[in-house]
Amino acid sequence: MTSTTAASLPKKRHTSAYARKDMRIALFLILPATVAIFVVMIVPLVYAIIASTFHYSLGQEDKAVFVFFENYGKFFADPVAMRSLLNTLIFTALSLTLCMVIGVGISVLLKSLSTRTGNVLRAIFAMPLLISPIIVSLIWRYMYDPTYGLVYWFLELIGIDGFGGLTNSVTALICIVITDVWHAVPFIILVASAGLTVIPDELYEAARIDGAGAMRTLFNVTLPLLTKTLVVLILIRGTDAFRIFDLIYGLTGGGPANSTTSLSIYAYKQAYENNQMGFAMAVAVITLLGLVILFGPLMRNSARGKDD
Amino acid sequence: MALTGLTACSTPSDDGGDAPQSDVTLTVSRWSGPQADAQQKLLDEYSKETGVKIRFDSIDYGQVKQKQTLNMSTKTGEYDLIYVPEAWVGEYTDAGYLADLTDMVKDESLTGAGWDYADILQSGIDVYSRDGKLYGLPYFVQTPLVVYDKDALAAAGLEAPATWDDAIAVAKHFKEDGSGMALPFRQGSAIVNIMAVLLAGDDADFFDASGKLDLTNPDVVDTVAFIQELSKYGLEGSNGWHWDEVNKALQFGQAPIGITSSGLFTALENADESQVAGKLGYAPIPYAKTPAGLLQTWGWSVPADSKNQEEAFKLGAWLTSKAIQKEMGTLDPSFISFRSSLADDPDLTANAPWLPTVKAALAKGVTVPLQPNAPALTDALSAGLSGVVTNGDDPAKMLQGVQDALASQF
Repeated sequence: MTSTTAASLPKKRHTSAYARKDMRIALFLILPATVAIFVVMIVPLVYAIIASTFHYSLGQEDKAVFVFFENYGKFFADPVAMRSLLNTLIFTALSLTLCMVIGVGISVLLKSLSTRTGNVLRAIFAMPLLISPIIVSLIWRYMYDPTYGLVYWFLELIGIDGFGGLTNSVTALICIVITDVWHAVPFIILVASAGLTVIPDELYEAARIDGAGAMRTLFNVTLPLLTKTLVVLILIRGTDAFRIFDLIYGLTGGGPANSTTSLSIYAYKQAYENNQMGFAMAVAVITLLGLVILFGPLMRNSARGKDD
Repeated sequence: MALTGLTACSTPSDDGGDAPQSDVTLTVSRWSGPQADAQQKLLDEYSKETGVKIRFDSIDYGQVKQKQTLNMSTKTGEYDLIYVPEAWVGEYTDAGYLADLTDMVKDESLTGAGWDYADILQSGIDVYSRDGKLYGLPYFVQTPLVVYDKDALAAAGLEAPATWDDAIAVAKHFKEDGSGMALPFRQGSAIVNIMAVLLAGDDADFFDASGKLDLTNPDVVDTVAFIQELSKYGLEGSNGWHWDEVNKALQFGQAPIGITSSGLFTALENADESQVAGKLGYAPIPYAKTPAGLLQTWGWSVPADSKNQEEAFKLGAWLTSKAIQKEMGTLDPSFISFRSSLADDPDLTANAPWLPTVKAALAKGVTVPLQPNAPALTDALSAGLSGVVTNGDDPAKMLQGVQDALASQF
């Protein structure tokens, strides 16, 4: 004989009128945000995907021709497009790595200084962050000028001659990476410094008592406890670098010989110089897919809470 | 003011004053770039003297074509007079967007007395003509020229370069002297513009007689080889420069000679901004056979769907009349008119000494390719030329590559 108790019965959810009202208010309150996200994010995205399957020019949408996936095939068949994809990947890898190493390194060093000195230096280091990217590109364009640029003056001072700078296919991309790092490192410093403030001093004290050196403390204490912050930084900086446009536009326009053309520059040229809006939309969608492939897993991890 | 004959529909005002009245309102489309403010003043003057009300839709360059196309393709009749560069003429006329002005320019009741159609440079008329019909009134032109420091050349015992050989000799001299020729050889439109002029000066073209892409033609290869040779004697770094940087190098006396665009000449001759003001000479881009110039133009067209075509044309004719063109040139010396007689006008040449040279160069004025697919060609050539001048790529191979990639589109 089996006995049935109230505890063993499947729970029937009884939602009180009070709870239901709460739920309705909650739904009502998130409605504006949901509508805003739908209108400003989902609608343009769907529009871009649909537009990428057409061949059309700006202002002549009424003459659009449906070409299905032809624009995507055209992208992968175009050597300039492939070059722009490669340039984007190289730029992202170099810029992200340098930004993280230099930015986190400086943050850790600043933490070891007195609070007052650290704050003053942090404020000084943050200055490039206040300049808009297109202005940064103009400043560095003159810095890289062989005739009157500061970079060439300095290189000459230390005995380096024949630097190609922005006019050489090999060095132009490196020059842009350096500029981007100069502009983006302050952001890393500010965020990483904020992350470092929540690491308890007792842990450093314990590490010191255990005889851990600076490097061991960095790798066994600081970086593990900074992981969440670093993931967010990699996400923000990585996606920014992958979408790089204004710095390249101002510094080289994609040249010389397409050696600095990024995916965004390529898409811009197709849209506004070659007037191929459908193809430009396909490039934009491919850029988005690239971002999802590269940074999607990180985004998923960063969104996980403690319970996951 | 050249308003004779243009006020036919105007009537005295009801209050008994002298100000003419008109029930016509014209909407003018142009971009908010250079000369927009000066033009606004002139349009206000026109309104005051004719009573015609003018709505001036001056917007960002990136949106002008889109807005014009949208209005004309849906026949809204929104615009009465539109500002059109050479690159849009083919597309607009093919689509039937523009009114035929051929007969209007012959009608003195519309143009005003002494308007003088024959005074407009033929190369400008050609840009705005299709199949013998005129679809726009040439208004303003820009063209690149060689700009040189007369004292520097005289000190070196050199003359302004005319031919390719002259240009190489002069550039080589200054390169060996520590500077060189400032060249706008950054990957972009400027280097293709210069190639177009050099081709015209060699009696060559991007296309053969039947209109097919012909980049492997020996004359085209020679032209690109010349560009490569000239770049060897360029001022250090100018392979990464656009017009503005060349202008700066000339302005501050770093380059004794360079190729820059007429739109920037005013800064060179402004004593407050330039170390070489008053010392500069101007010459056409070096040529192999004949001098040539580039036509980067703006003209006034009347949309076919305008409800005020005659009134709009009258305004266009007024804007392109000698008196108004001279006034524009006085307000802004970088404004270069298509009016042949103004190129030698001493009142204008005092502030714009380049005008006679522009006139000489534009006797054989050419445009960059204007076909619907031309931007793809310009883009490929700018990248290819950039490789030729920075990496030393072989001109023939580069041209063969572009030819193979794009021949099917032309």
